[in-house]
Amino acid sequence: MGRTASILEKIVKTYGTFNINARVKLIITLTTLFFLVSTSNGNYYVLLLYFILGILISIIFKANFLFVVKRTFLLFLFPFFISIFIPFTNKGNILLKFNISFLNITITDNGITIFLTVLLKSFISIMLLSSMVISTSDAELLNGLRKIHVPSVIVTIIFIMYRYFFVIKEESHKGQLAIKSRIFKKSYKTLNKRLAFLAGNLLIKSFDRAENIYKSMESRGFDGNFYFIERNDNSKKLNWALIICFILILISIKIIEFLKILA
Amino acid sequence: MEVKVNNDIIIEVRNLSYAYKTSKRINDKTDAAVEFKEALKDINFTVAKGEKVSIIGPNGAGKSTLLLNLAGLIEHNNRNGEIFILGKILNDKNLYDLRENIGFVFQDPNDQLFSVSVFDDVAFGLINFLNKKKDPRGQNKEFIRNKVVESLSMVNLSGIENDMPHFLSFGEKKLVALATVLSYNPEILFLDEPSSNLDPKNRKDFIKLIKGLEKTIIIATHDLDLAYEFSNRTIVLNKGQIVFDGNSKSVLQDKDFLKSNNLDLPLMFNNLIE
Repeated sequence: MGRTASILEKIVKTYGTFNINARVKLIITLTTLFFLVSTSNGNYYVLLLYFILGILISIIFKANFLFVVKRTFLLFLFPFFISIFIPFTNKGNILLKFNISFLNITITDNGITIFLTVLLKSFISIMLLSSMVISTSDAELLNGLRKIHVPSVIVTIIFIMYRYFFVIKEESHKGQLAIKSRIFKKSYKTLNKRLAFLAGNLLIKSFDRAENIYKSMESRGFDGNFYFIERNDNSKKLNWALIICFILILISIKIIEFLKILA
Repeated sequence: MEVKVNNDIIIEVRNLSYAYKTSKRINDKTDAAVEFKEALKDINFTVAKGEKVSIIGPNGAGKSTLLLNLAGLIEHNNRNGEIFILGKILNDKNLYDLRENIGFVFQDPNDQLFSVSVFDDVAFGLINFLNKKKDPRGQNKEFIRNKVVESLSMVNLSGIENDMPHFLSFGEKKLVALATVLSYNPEILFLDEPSSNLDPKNRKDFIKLIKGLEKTIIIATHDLDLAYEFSNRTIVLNKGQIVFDGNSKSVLQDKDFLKSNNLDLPLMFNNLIE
């Protein structure tokens, strides 16, 4: 009993201090998504296993659970509305039939199965991605992309877009204030017209900014190649062990699905 | 083309002229609509190693254009004359080798700090130059990390390596922008309007910092107080021409000369003399 307690205590202590790096989070999330997407239609018990795994991942990533739930349900509305017509557009055994004047609407069993599978898959995917995004800072996530060898040009473009998103936002806010400060009559027409001009102005400003940034990069020896230095690669062994554990779990789930063990 | 130089001379500018291509009419791309606006006319001067020089002048005098030319960061097709840096002529062939010796700090630090973290920005130049020379230290994380920390501590900042530049104060951004060039230890520093938008305390600290750097520094500014405090030598530009090159203390107290060149006395003298 005492031994079990000490092991549990050790696990809790390790969990408290162990930081999963962004690369590992990306690998685990993307691999799980790949396995999840490859699940065939109607395998609800396998999808339930993925759901449990998703919750486990969320706990290991140390994501704020309430925030994950909120964001998942909010984003889930998009796939829900996109897939709402699936039950009506697939062939199969007719479960329900509506005849409303010239409209013949049928709901098939096949359609319902695909619909539910799509919904469950998208729900679990959103939950996984939300856990990763919520538990990782943006800069760390971008560093993670570097580490999994996404081409440096792509990562750098994302980096620069992300970096200047705030600058453009600030410029746009300043521009809006400048417009509002000189509108002396409440007129949405005038305001909208001016905002259109502001968008054009921001585009020109961003050209200027881009030119200056390039000059600054050139002055510091930029020759078209991006060189990155990895940082914060602590707890390497534990991180790799975690990846292996998850891949083994995913393979086990695939075997369960393939051999129809829980069917 | 090599120039015979005095060992002390680090920058030499000979008969430099520069013109910007402009269009007289919007949407008219014909040759008749194109005109050249002369930004620099027949500029000649030398700068010795370790010297600190201020370039002052009213708006549109050509200060920034001169600095950009010296750093080889401007379209050189519209340039006449020669620039020698460390005895080598600044041209397409030498440009990339010479850049290693030049640090350029832009007026707006947002132009300079383009990375997501301070670390990446400070390390950017250093990694580029080391990799260009195929120096194995370019891949040495520990070396790069130490250099970044060292450069940041030179500008009195530490512990902000992982911060995002956008969320720093303007004063901090200016300091980080300086650290981005100090990291690769260039011989020459060009600073464009270094005191602009800084509050009095940050301005004072920044001046103290750049005064203490043992490098050849040229600043372009219309902050005459800064020129007075920072350097013994001042070059006055007006309408693209050098109208004075000499002792800062004498020119910055000459009210009539300054007025004739659309300038005014530094604020510290304004009240005393009037």
